[in-house]
Amino acid sequence: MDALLIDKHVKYIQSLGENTDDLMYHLTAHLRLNAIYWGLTALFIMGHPEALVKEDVIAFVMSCWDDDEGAFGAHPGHDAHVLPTLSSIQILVMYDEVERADKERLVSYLAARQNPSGSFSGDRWGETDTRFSYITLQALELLGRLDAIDKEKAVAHIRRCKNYDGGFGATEGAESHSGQVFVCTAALTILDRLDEIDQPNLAWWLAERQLPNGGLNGRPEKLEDVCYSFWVLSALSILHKLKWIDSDALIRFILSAQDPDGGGIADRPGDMVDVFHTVFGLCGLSLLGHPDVREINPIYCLPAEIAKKRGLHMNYQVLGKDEA
Amino acid sequence: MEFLNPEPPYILFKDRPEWSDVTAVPQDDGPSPPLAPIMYNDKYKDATSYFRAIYVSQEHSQRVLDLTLEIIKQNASHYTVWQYRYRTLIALNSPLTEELHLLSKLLPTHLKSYQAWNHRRLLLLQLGKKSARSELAFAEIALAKDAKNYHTWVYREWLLCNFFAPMPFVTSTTISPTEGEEPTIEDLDDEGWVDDEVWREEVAFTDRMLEDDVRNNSVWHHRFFVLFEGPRARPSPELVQSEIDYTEHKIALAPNNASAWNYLRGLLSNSKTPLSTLLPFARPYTLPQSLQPSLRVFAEAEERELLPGENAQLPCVMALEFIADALGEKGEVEEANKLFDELVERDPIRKQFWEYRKRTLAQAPTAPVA
Ligand SMILES: [Zn+2]
Repeated sequence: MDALLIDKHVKYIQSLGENTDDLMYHLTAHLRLNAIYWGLTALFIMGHPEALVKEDVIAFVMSCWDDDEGAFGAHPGHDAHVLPTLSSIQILVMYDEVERADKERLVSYLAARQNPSGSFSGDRWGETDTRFSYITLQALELLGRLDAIDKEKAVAHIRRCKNYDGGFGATEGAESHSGQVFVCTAALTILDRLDEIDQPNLAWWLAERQLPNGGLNGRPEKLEDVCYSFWVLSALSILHKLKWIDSDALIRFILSAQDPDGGGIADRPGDMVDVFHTVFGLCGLSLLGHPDVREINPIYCLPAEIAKKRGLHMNYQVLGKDEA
Repeated sequence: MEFLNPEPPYILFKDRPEWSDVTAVPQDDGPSPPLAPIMYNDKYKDATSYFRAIYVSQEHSQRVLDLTLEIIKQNASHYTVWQYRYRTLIALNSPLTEELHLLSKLLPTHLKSYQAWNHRRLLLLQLGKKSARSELAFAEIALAKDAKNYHTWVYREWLLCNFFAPMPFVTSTTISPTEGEEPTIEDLDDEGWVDDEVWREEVAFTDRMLEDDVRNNSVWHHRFFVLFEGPRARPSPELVQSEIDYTEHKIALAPNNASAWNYLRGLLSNSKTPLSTLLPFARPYTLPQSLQPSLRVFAEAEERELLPGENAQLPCVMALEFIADALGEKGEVEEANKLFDELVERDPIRKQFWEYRKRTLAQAPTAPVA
């Protein structure tokens, strides 16, 4: 089995912000804050949180504040949206600096994203998606203000996105998808409503995502991809069914997608690496109990020690740990 | 033949006379190197620096439409640009059908852009039901390009629920752009009630799609939604039976098709029918190809259609699982366990799962399984 190249991955993440003249840097501006959160989470669980300069990161986060709307945009000058807003809060939580954010305004921005049907929009332009339910709920829980929304309606909406195969889709009527299954499972955990899940059926649907090469896919008849290691595994971890997949085969698959020269992890072996697949590959390894990676709390995708310190939900499974 | 009709050379916004009154605002995160050659990179930097300028001055004009289009072509994920473009269209009272056509030309290359699809949704909310029907055709064209594209399916389901259901499924209140810009929803106008025909046509559409690719899970899902879960679903025992027949025929065409087996299970659990009802159908799929000729000999013509074909890879894992579950449901633990053992052998990557199933069956032999 390939070794996990921690040092290379740390260097890879450090190098990400270096070439701001690179076209990719500009084309991915709408994901900048997310990318920083992904990189930082990866560094934390690799045991190198100091590899980015804390004050620089926080200064950048604060420069993304959209004062008209009272939330964060992805990059200075971009409109506020729940995605970068959650990333900002997560970064501040990881640095134990959440007090720097204007909590009151954030809470009202986030609460205003809930629609009368119980669904959530990503911004004031209205696109709804169960991803936004999860993102808003997590952000509010991190701010200690879950009371700011109608929880019953939030649950009811997620229930309406449930499908006959036990999975969940992005909207009412949408096909089950591993990513959406993760966000709905984690959202229901945050709402203390895991009873809404058809657990055996869903866990089986998740286990069915593993392909003979060890990788996991997002839907039937689709290709395997390292990022699904996190979406599928985190849902299985919350359902305490991680053992239903072949963990050795999956670990081998994730490790084979590393770039042995420049560091980083790709969606599948041989492809270009990116920070998104790097962090979710590492998170997958963490849940599978890889000894070189620290524990991730899959409900929030935050380092476990940080989630624990803040008294967040902790009912999930990690292989090799607390096993009955 | 493109060389005969080359695209006009691209002119940077800083060199366009109609923009000479605007001072560009460069991105504030790093200086660009002096003497850099003009390349795509500069093209994007140039356009976005003019965007920052008009964003600050809150200009809404025709040239803003040109500018935002240019940026979207280069980067379809820039959500701030999309939103600004939408606000500008509304502010200028621009013909939105033209915008829809423009977007149709752009979308095939941006099928995975959330923002492009959301822009389309915003346009449809303004244009109303009269435009929704041709949008279903557009979605079908987009699916011809990528039959499993999640955004396209979500969009199609949104169209159906929002414009062809008795009540707006996703209500207008979910959209609240800037103050005083409530989009007008013109659905539920003359017809008032549902367009049942649209929903019937939807079933025929899934037939067509499954003829192209019987393994496309998105289509199976969509069919279930239309027939059993959507706002115009009218489940009945007859419908369940005809769908069971339909699915059995599709399984006969391609037995190792998890989507079809899941659909079958969905039908049974939706109608609270025990799995064991379909034991006679599923059994032949658990037998090796070598036994199939004799099955064919003894089958009635009608049953023969439902037997696995000569090229089928047998035994089929999904059929083994189906029978194991059906037997477990009936409390025939020993028989079920034999099948779980076979599953361990034939689907080793899920060994742990099959062994778990065996254990739980032994513990609670009469409990219904998942
Ligand atoms: Zn991926």
